[in-house]
Amino acid sequence: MDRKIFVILFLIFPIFIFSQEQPDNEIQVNFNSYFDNFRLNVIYPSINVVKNIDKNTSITGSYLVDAISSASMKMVLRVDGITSATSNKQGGADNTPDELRHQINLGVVRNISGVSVSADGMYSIEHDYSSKTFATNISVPFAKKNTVLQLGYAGNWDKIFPQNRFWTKNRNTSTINLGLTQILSKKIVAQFDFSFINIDGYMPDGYQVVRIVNNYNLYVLEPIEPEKRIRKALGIRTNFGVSKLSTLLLGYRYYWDTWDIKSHTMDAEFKTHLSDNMNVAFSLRQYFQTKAYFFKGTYTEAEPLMGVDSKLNSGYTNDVSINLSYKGNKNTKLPFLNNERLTFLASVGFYHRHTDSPDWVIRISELYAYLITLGLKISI
Amino acid sequence: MRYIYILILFLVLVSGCAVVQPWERERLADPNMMFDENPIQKGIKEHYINIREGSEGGNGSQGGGCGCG
Amino acid sequence: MKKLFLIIFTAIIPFIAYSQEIGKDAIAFSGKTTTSETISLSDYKGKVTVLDFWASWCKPCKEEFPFLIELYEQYSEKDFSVLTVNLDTEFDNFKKFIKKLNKDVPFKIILDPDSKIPTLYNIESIPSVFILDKKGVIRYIHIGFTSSEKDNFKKEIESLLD
Repeated sequence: MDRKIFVILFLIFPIFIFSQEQPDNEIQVNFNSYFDNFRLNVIYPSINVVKNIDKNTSITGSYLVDAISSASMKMVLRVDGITSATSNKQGGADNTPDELRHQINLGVVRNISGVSVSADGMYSIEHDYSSKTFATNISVPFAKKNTVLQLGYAGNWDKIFPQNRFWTKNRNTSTINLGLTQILSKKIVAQFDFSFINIDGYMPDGYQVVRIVNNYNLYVLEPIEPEKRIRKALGIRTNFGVSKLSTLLLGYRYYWDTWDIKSHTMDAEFKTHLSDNMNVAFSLRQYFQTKAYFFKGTYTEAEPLMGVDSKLNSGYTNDVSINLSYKGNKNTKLPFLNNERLTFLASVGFYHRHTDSPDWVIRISELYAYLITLGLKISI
Repeated sequence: MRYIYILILFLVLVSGCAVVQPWERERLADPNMMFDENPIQKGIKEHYINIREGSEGGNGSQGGGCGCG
Repeated sequence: MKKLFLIIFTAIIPFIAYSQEIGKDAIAFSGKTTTSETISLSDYKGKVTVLDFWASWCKPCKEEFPFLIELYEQYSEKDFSVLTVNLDTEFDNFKKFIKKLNKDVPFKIILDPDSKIPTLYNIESIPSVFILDKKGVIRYIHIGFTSSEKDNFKKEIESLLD
């Protein structure tokens, strides 16, 4: 039996002998900012490096400091922005700001006879949350690269230790991803993607509290959510070369999970070259979601399962953004803009979320957020 | 064993179905035809979306393009 | 035994479709160059020849092209030459690339907008480079290009020039 498998693999091997284009050697630096009406204003930088070691191997590394974190939710009566954290001047037990999250990633991609294999590790830490991730992916082209099959696995091991609690809890996640990219014609390429995510452990945000309000009493309890969740999503996207200079991407994703949340996501992106060096993209995204079976906007008594996280509520979102990129052109007289090794990136986005009942902290149903990113890619 | 036959048949059929030849991929070579041409931008967007919404996954991997080698 | 035969038979079909060409004579062809001159591959017998299939919209092809000029300049005084086959469907794109190079191209470029020649070679990706010995036999094949391959290229050419 083993010999038969060897023969099969040996004879099929020539199918896989295609080379893959290597990524560019580059450094990308981004300054990302986020402002919303839940009183969170953040600027957070990130740096990403890609370097080719040889014809078949490249490594990536990145570091970012991030303050959008659902882990840093503080007590309900001391609301301060989306995280409901205290102000920057007052931190946790050690009096340092709690909103900062540091994340470091390292990865390697190797081309083995046309098959691309990657492995990535990530470590993320803040004062009340840590996360370790290992991910691996294999990408196999077929039929002169008209078809590419991808299979990925990621494992996350998270620890949650809120600073106003006396416990540490774990959450472990396994993700399997299957992807198929298919060239349909000289101007159309489609991608199908299926994700299966299994989560075990503590699910709520570490600082969330459930307000129990009845006629005579107001008291708070910790939320209780199921300790298991299986999530599945199936997406399809298609890129159309609508003209010589422009492309239109249309995408749809259906999501469902064991908490009864079902969602539909539709997105569209129109990209066009304004010149040889300048590109602009307009994106629009619409999202609709049902609520988790145990979610309630308000509680009048304690229940076996209680969830208040707005993410679990029913509602919809609208998201629009515009992205601009400019690659340096040596014919330009302006400094920096005439450096062909530099690409400038700018992005502005507007995000609106409506939930069918008010948020548990801010007590409003409408979230409005603005996102601005400025970036610079440097070829090395 | 049956699944191995199905796999081999699938590979044979797929390898014979070259829809677009490598030299016909001029339009596909446009970086705009790639999915997630800038994975860092995508990661930033997904991060703020994942803390606001209850869904995850099914949103693709990098790919597309001309497949020049 | 029947099962093994079936496995081998179904698996060998794609193997035949993409048969290896090292050691075989390079398939003969002719085409018109940028100066409307008709040339044939057989004109290059007696020389070690780098035969390259490329297009101006292909990023690794654009990175490789100046290196081919470098190779030509380094080895042309020995029995060496370079012949490239351009596959651009729009001549303007080809012209734009050559102009941007800002260098004289010392070797011949065949224009093949109908892509008749790559079909003969069953090209799987571009750029594809075939290094032929003085008898016109394919000795090395390179699919794709990265700058880390430059030394390898030179070693292969030198081994055929000796």
